[in-house]
Order: sequence, then C-alpha cells, then structure tokens
Amino acid sequence: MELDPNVFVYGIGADKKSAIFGSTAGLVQQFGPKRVFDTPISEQALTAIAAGAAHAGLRPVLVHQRVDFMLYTMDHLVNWIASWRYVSGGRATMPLTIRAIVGKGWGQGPQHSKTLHSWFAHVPGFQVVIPGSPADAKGLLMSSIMSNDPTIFIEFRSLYAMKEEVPDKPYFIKHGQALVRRSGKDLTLVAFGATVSMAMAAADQLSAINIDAEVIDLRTLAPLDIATVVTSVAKTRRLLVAEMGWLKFGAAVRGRGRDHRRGLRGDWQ
Amino acid sequence: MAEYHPADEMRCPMHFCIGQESVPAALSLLLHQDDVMMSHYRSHGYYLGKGGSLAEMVAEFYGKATGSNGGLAGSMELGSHERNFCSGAIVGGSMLIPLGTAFAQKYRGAQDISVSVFGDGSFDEGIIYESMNLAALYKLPLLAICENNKYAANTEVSKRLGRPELLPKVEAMGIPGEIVDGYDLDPLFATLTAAAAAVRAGEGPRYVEVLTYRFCAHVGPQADDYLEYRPATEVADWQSNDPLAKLRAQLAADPATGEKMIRIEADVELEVAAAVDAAKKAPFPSPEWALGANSASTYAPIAEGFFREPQPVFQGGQNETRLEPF
Repeated sequence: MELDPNVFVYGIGADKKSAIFGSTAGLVQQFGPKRVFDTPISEQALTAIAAGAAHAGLRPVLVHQRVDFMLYTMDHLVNWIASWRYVSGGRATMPLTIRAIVGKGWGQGPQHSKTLHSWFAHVPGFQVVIPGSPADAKGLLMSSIMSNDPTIFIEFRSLYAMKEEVPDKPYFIKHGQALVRRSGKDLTLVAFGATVSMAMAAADQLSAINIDAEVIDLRTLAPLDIATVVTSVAKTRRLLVAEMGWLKFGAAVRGRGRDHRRGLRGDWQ
Repeated sequence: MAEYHPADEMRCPMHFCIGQESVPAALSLLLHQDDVMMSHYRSHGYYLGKGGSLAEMVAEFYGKATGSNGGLAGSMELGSHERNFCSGAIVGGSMLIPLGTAFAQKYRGAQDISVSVFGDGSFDEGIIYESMNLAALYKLPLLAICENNKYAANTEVSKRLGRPELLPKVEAMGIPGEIVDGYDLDPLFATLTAAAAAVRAGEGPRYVEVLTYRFCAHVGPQADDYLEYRPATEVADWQSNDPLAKLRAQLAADPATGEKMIRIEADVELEVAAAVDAAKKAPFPSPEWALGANSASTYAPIAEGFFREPQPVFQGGQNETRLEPF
C-alpha cells in the first residue's frame, strides 16, 4: 500500500479492531478510510467492485473471512473475471487479489472449513496462491497484489501463529516457482499451505528411520511449477502429495506430472 | 447482419436491437470517450454509439482475429477496449464492470461516469438489488438505464415479478429515478441528459427506465412470432409508433435533410458491405495466441524490477517452523 496508491483493501471488518484476525491491523490508521474500509455482507457486489476497479487500473484487495463465502461470487469469478483478459482479446487486465481464509480447526463445520483450491486452480485465468510459511506469505502476497492477473490467495488460519524470520523490506516471490524446502533422495513429498510444515515434521521423523524425503512446497497451484516436481520424482521414483481439501488436487499433480514426462502440453495455466 | 447471418459464417448467437435504437443513439451524444459503458448482450447499438468500429464489430461476428475482441468474444461479449465499452451474455451482468469503474472514478476524483444498461429481465436477478444498494451506499457515479421491453426472452414481466413496477424497487434501494417513453425522442434525450449531468456532478447514482420494444426475435435474424409468446397486435402497435420510421419520414419531407439522409444511408450500406468483405477475408485467431491471451503473466514495474535482481530464496526455518496444534 505504501508502494502504490492504487492498492486498497476492503471486506467485512477490514477497518475494525479485530482487523480480520489481525491481518489488516494498523492499515486504516496509516492509510485512511478511502483505502481501507468495512463493507456490507454483499460478496457478489464487492467482487464486482474488485473486477471493475481492477479493469480501470486500481489494485483492489478483497478479503473474505472464509473461503466458503466466495461461493456467492462464483458467477463473477468464473463467468467474468477469469475470462476477462481472454474475451477482450488480450487487451484488458484485472490486477485484483482476493484473500480468502480457511477456518482454523476442529468444530468450524462444513460451511467454515472449505478450501476449494481445486476448483479455482482448474479455471483458466486465475492465479491460485497458498503460502506455507510467513516469509512466503509476505513475498507471495506482495507479488499477487502487484501481478496483473486476478489472484486468489488462500490463507490457512491455522498458520497465523507460525513464527519465522521475515525481512522488513519489500520483496516479491514470483508465481509458478515451487520451493524445495528439504532435499532428499527416497521420496518426493509435495505439500502446500497447512501441509508444508506437517511435511517438514514428517520428513524429520522419516529420517530417523532412514527414509530421506524431499519436501516440495508448491506455493502456487496456478501457475503450477510441475517441472520441479517431475525433476524430483525422476530422482526419488516415489511421489506423495499431501493436501488439505476435499477435491483431489493431488490427482491433478500426478496426472500433470505424467503428461509432462510424456512431453504433452501440460502447462496451459 | 440479419441479411448475412443465415449464410452460417457467423456462428455466434446474435441479439438484434431492432426497435430499441433510441437509447444508444441518445447516449452517443451524451457520453465522452473516458466514460465507461457496459450493456447487456443486445449490444450492437451501444457498441456503435460509444464509438466502436463497425469493421471490427463485423469481424468479431465472423470470429476473426481482426475483430474488436480478437475473434474470441463474438456478439454476446462484444467490447471496444479503446472506447471503454463492454458487454456480456449473463443476465444481470452488465452492472458488474460499471459498479467497479464508478468506484475507481470516485477513488481518483475523476469527472467521468459509468453507465450500465440492462433489461427488465435483470430485475429477476438478486445481483441487481445488491449492486444498487452498494452504488447508493457508496454514492458512486453510476447511471443505471433499464430498457424495459416487458420481455425476458419469451416471458412477459407479469409472469416473472410479483410486483411488475420496476422504479419503486430501485427507489427502495436508495437511487432516484424516472420512467420515460423511449419512443418520444425529445423527452428521452432531456431525461438522459439531466440524469447524466446529475451523476457527473457527484450527486450519486441515478436510474432511468426507458419504455421500449423489441420488434425482432429475442435471438437470431428470423422472426420468432411463431412461438406465440406475445400478441401480434402488440408488435404492430409499437411498430406503428417507431421513432426511427417517424424520424426518417420527417427528414425525408425536407429536401435538404432528405438528400443528406439518403447519402448517409448509402455510405453506411457501403461501409457494411466493405466490413463484411474484409471480415470474410480475415484470418481466424491462432490457437497459440488465443491460449496466451488468457493471462498477462506480468507484474507492476516495481515487482518486475525486483525480479531482475538475484533472488533471495526464503527456505523458511526448516526446523523452526512449527504448526500451531489445532
């Protein structure tokens, strides 16, 4: 928001003391109510504002307290935003970011726990980002806001308490670059979001029984860095995808990996 | 286009605006280049009224690379990026972009306005009420125009709305509005002028409901009266009042304007024929280009500059990252 006056952030509770689980804390004090504001419970119209404002060259950041609430907005997302650049013949862009939070844990219920990352990643036109650590969250959110493509940024609230050294200065992590967090030779463990730290913990336990796991944090599901996964599996010959969600994106990773090895066009995102 | 469509070289479904020409014509005199307009899918008049290129429109119908949307949109999602016009096929969708561009215009303190044109069918969709509420709440520079032709495809308004009056619904959302006869050109133009001026002056959104009628079928060049969803006398009544026909007769009566009108119409015929000819000869867009048109894959300059430097890789504390138990 300091770097670009066109960035504004809004959503239910964005300017309140609760600051959307602390994630917008201090913003309205620093940037004022024009750029940080609370909204009615009108997800679809708020998404329309994001779409039109982005089309006009602003960089909106819309926040949903739960991914589940995005379901009100599927028409706007899929019928309009995702295909907007395409249907304009490559002339228009929608540099918008939608932050959506996944409910924290036991007891949230089906309407406050979904991730839906598979649905969004399968629609051409979106970038889908799921950070697995604080430093990644900062770099990826900055990139998503500065990206000229519409981005859905899914945050596992269970990770908000995670601690990591995060630089103060601005930095950007490019979309479509997976991170090998741990090198290994026996097993490729692919993870994203909440499963990244689980995979790291699992790798530690596996090394105690002499299984050397390579942990890959996908970071972005679209664009998907399948090449990093394939390179790893070529070495380890074993692939395990750990995801939290209910549609099997892992299956897509396996399938895309096969296609990539066979030289088929698997990179349409 | 009705003449050329049956040759089946234009594959997109086409929704003609025959009978509904008055509003786009009026708006063409009122709006500036930087004003944003979005219409429903009965868009040809609005596209041309906003200054869109006829040749590009025809090429778009033929699905060619020289089309206004690169051949990727067809008639139903026709747009002119340079002239700030867009449209779409989903009923109720034409509020979407103008709601956001109006927000941007206010955010930037611009003098421009955003115009949304939709049909009476949009009042069946929840999004219209939600959008109007937000426009009123945020006092956005939005001019909302409803072309009320009483039909959504083949279903008449009293079969769709428990209360068929549209204006009270808009006023209930907090937007002042007026109803005007779309077939009486002077009051129509005066009403639209006043509404646009109020919006431009920062008074918040305004609504104008234009009573109008569609002579042609809902979709396609053939008539659809064989579907018998509306009385033949109704169509004939409106046609006998057609403002376009009246205007032609008026202009023809005076030799000076009559001559000019004949010349203009002849020029347009030639222009259309040339556009069709050029469109038929133009290439289709390539699949590689079309797939690439999906994503910009670019960033604002500040990020692009950062990527050019050697990148620090944040491995994360491999053994320090802990998952909060849940």
